[in-house]
Amino acid sequence: MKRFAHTAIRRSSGSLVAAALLAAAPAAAEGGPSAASLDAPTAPLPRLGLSLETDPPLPGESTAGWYGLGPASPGNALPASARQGSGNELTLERAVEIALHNNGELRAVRHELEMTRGLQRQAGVLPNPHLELEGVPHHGAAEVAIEYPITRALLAPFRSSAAAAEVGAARLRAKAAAIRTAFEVRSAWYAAQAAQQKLALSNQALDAFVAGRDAARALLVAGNTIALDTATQEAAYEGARIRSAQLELEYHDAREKLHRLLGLHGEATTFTLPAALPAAPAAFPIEDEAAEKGAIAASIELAELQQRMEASSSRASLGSAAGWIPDVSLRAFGEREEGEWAMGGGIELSLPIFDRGQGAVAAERASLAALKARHEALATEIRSAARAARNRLRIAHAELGHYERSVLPTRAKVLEEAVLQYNAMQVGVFQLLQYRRDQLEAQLAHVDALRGYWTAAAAFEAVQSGARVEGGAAPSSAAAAPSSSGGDSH
Amino acid sequence: MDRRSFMKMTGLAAAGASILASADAVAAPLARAGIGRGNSRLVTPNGQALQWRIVDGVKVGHLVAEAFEHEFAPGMKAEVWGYNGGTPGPTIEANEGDRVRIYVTNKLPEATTVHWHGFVLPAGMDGVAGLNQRPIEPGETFKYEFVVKYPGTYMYHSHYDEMTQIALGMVGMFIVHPRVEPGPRVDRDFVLMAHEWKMEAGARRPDPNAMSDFNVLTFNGKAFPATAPLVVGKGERVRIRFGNLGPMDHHPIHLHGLAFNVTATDGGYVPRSAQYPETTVLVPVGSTRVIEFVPEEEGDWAMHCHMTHHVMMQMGHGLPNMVGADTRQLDRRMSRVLPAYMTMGTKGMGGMGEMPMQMPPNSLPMRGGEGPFSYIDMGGMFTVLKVRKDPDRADPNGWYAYPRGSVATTASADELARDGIAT
Ligand SMILES: [Cu+2]
Repeated sequence: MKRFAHTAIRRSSGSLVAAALLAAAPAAAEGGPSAASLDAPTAPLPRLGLSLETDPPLPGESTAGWYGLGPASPGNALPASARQGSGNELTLERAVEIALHNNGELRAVRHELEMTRGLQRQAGVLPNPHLELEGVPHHGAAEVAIEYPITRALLAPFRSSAAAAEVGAARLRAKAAAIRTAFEVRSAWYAAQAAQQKLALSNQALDAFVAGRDAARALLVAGNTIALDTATQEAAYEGARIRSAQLELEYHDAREKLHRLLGLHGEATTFTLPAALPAAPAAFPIEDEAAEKGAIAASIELAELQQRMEASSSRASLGSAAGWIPDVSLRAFGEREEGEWAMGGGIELSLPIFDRGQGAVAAERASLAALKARHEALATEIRSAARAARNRLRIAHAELGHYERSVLPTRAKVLEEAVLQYNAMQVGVFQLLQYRRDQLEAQLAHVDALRGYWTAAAAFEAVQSGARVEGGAAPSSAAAAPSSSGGDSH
Repeated sequence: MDRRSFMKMTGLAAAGASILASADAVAAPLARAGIGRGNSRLVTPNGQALQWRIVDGVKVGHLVAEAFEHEFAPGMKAEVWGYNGGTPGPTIEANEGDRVRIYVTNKLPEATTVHWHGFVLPAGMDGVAGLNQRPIEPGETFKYEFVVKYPGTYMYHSHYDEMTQIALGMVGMFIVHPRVEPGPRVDRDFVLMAHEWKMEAGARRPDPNAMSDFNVLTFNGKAFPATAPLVVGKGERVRIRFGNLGPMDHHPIHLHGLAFNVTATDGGYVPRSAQYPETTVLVPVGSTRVIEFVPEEEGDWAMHCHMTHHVMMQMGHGLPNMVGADTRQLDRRMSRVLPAYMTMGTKGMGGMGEMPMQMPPNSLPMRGGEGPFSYIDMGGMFTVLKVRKDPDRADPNGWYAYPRGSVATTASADELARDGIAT
């Protein structure tokens, strides 16, 4: 774990390893929600489209359902229903645990692992002896014969060990599936949390829009402005309501994806998410050389290929050895004729003259060569994937740092100075509101950057834990950066 | 000649003699005094006078064009350009017929010239860059020399990149006293130069690109409450010489409590037969106006430009009109959107200058000054004419002591009843 400089990543990386272990330990989810059934009770549907139904509540009115408009703390993005503390709050680690326990795909992979274990046992069992009974009752004649395939029995342990390699490969596939599932849970978690935060920020922007509308209406009523200016403010507000509704849907979509990954339904889906994504480490937590080496060392795909190469190799050896060994069977028999038993024995053996399994051995050797070639190609791909994941994480970290060190402070400075200019009667309320909305836009883009960082970190981590994953690059926040516009009406 | 004038003259004669005795003497008192010839002392409130050195009968002076920090009023400083550390530059004072030789050293980052505004002089001395001379490059010193033929109230200013240099403060007054005063002798003689600047609230340099929205208006480079009051005597004859070399605006200067005549412009004297009484004189850009009056009422009298936006400090002009708006719902919303926000202007803007709000640094938006009764919510081109019985002993910073019962105040119920006023 030396390659990770930051505890947050180290901790979650550790949890990944734990997750892999948990793949075979259902006890981990004790007390956890049970898998879905067809007649399970349904959870109440969230009330959606609030921003299209009513104006944002005035301070003092109920803010139920209005993410981001709750009283006080700026980080408060939880709906009113979820504000009874962290009692129903789900942590990411717990979410991963639940998913590893509940996820249908993972459960199937685990069953497949059991299957290969069964096959292995089967390969190792001793062959049964053959018993032959013949008789003619009225004549009192009988024949008893026992035959046992010695060669097969002798080779059984070798067959078993060849099958053990297949079990190892299956175990690795299960581990990889666990890592991929954990990544998907993380990715979905970050998406849901980001959507929740963005919805809160969008509602705060909406609040600033509706304030502009109220100001314009007050000026129109007082006879101080023209209908055009008021209509402009109203149009801006009405347009902004749509975005809050869209972000509301984005949030609930992201949650449903999470529910599916966690295999949850009904009451179990009423958990809340932490209001804010965690902060990223200040320093970039990855050493450059570590990325490739770590990914190669941990790669489950490579290990699995290695296992298959070993299995193939031992099959080839076995086939080659078995080809020269005569197929030996021992036979013992007794014959009763006219009340007398006569005992005898025999041996049966094939002569490995023509069929020594040459073709199968050659095929196995070719298969082994193919696996070796594939191993080399895969190593190259994994190196590249590790570099790509590291590059994404590097840029995501730099972008996030830029937001936190430059974009957000400068936006805050803009608003701070705008308030001073407002106090000095140099700018009006509409312009002030525009600066506030510009700040919220920047915060919105920052949430995307934060999500991008954590998603890239999870993808990087998955690669470092041995599995390549899809979707390590969250949508860029660049397009969301607001244009710096002043107020356009007064 | 009254007694006061006589006393002044004899004092001056003594001072003049001692200064002339020393070739190196710095002749500040001479400049203030107008070098005898019966002129009363000239005062440039908040300003300074150019110091002369007499060389072979020629008045030799030195103007240094330079950049420096200037304070418009406490709380607001600016990087300006001017002469000898001042904007306006030092008041130049000479007598009709004097030969003056004025050296101009350019310490600005760009070229400059000096134009002697209103003077009749040889064309080569007129100072228009390109037309009358080549520009004075940074680091160079030029020499202007001419005879001041006609008495009057003149000005001087840069005539190179005027838009920038005048906007940044390259202006000054130039007074030429007559051999013989055409009118009655005056007891007080003031010089007030109007100027206008655009200073964004929180900026540190006037914006020379401004063409409107000037928001710092000054008399002699100072905005009220930093303008020095003009202290005069009841019954004295007072002269005020206004000059205007601001970039764009004419200023109707209004005096309270008296009427005056315009006695001269930078074109010369107004014949007595052509003078008429006024209480407001328009001082156009590029002009001087000289007024004379005799105050008969003691007191503190406002004297200001009558353009209301010229007695404001750094008021923004693109603001929404909030007067009369019912902002209760807006205020509720803003308490969540921007807790630092406070609605202003719904009941008018009086008292804004007194609000303890956090302001941009180096700015004086809406600021005025303390008055004897309450805050005076005017700033900029505003000053106070203080008419006193004994002006030479009066505290220039003190307020007029009103005789009991002479100040407007709340009407009593008895008075309202007596006069049949329903409220
Ligand atoms: Cu004016």
